[in-house]
Amino acid sequence: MMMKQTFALVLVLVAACLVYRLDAIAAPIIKDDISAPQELREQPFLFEVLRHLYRWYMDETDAEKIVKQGEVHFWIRGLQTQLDPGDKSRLGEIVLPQIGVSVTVKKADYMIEELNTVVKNDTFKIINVSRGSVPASTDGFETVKVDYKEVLEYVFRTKDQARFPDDEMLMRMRLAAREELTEYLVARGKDLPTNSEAVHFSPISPVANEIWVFWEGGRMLLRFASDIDLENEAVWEHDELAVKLYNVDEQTVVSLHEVAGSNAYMTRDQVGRALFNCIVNGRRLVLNPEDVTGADVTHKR
Amino acid sequence: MLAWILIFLLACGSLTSASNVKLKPPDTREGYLARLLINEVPFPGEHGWLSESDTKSAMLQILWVLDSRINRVPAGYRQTEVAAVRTKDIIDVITVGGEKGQCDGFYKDSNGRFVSVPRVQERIDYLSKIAGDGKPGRFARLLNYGQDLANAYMKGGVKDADRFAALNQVQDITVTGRGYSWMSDKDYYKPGGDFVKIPNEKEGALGGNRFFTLKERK
Repeated sequence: MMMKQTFALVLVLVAACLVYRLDAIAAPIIKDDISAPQELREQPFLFEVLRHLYRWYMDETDAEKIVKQGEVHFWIRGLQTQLDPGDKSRLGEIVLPQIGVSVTVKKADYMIEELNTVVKNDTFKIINVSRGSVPASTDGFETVKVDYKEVLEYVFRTKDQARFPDDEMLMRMRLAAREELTEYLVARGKDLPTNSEAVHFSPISPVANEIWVFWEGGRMLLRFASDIDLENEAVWEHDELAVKLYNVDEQTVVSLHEVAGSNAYMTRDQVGRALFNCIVNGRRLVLNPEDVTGADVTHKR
Repeated sequence: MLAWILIFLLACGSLTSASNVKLKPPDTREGYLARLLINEVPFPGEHGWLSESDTKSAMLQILWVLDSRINRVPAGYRQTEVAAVRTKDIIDVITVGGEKGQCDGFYKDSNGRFVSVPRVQERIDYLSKIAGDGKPGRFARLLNYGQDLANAYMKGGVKDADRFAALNQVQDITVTGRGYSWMSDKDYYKPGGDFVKIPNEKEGALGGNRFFTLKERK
C-alpha cells in the first residue's frame, strides 16, 4: 500500500514537472499584429530611427538606393508576443525595404517584483536591427513614405541637439565602468590608471537605450545598454546588468568568418562606427580617476 | 518508507523556502554549464529582455547548439568546422579557443581547469542575490531552470525539444536544421562560415540572441 502511495506521489511530481517544462517552452515568440501604434507612424520618431540607422548601420550603398528614389519608405506594424503576466510592454517593427533592414522597437512597461522597480519607457526604443530579413510584401504593414530631402533637412537641422550624459549619469557610468575595468585589468596583472584619462561618449539617442564610450588610453570600447532608460537612476542601482567591455585590439575582426561561431568579437565595421560615434559625433571628457565626485569636462564643440 | 517520504518532502520544501536558488558550484560540470546558459541570456531589466519563456527558450536552444556541435554534426561537415574542436565533451565545446574563444569568457586555465572571467560569477552572484530575497520569483525560476537543464544534460541529454530540428529551408537556402551558433547584438552582420541566420518567423531570435543553422552540403 505504502509503495503504491509513493509511486502515486512520484507520478504526480513527474506530471507537475512535465507541465512546468511544457509551459516553459511552449510560448511562441513573436506573432504579427497588423495595428501599428500611432507613435511609430509619427515623423519625428521615424526620423530619429533613421538618424540612428544613419549613424550606426547605413553605408553609402544604402544611401544611394534611397537617393535614387527620392523617398524613404517605412513599413510599420505592431508585434504581438506572449509576455509575462502583468507586462504591458508593446513591440513594433519598422522595415526599410529599400535597404533590406528591419528594426524591432519596444516600449517597456513592466514591474521587476524582486527589485520593486518599474521599467517604463516614455517612447519606443530600438532593441534590434537586422539586415536581410525583410518581408516579401506589405501585407500587415502600414506604409509611410517621406521625401528624402525632408529627412535630410531634419537630420542636419537637429544635429547639434545631441544630448550627452549629465553629471549625475556620468558619475554613475564612471562608477560602473570603474568596477568592470578594475576586474578586467586585475585579471591581466594591470592596475587602473592613476593619471587623467580621455574618454569619448557617443550621443544619447532618444530611440535607443544604448551608449558607447571609447577609453582612449586603454583602447577599450564600453557599451552601456539596458531595457530600462539609461537616464533612469534605477539602471545604475543595478549596474551589473548594464556594462560590457571590448578591447578593440583583441576583439576586432574584419569578418566574423574569421572566428565563425564565436560570440566574442566585433567586426571592424562595427568598431569603426562605434569609434566614429564616440570620437566624431560624440563628446570628449578628461576624467581624473581620483575625482569621484566630479569630472573635468572638455567640450569638443 | 514514511521516513524517506518525509525526507523527500523536506528536501522539496527546502528548494523554495530556505534558499530560492540551487546553483551547483562553478567547478562542477553541472554548475559550469549552468553558468554559461545563464550568462548568455537576459534577465528582467536587461537589454534583450522579453519574457520568462523567451529567456528559458534561449537557454534551451543554447544547450541544443552545444549538444549539436558534438552529437549532430551535419553530413558533409567536420566537427572542427562547427565546433572548432574534435571532442565528445561539452566542456571542451564551451572552452575551446580560450578566453575569447567560442563562448566569450569561458575557458580552461593553464592547469586545465574550466573557469570563467570574474564578471560571469559576479553577475551570477548578483542575480542570485536578487533571486534569494523574499518569495521566489522570475529570477529564481530562471536561475534554477538553467541549473535544471545542466543537471539533466549531464545525466543523459537535453530533455526538451529542439525547435530548430525540423528546419530545412531559410528563404532560398536549403539548411541542415538545428542551431549551430548563437550571437547577441550582431544581427546586422554576416555570421561567417556556412552559418545561416534563422529568421524571426522561424523563431530565430530568442533571449536577445540570434541563432544560426548551417547550409546543407551535398
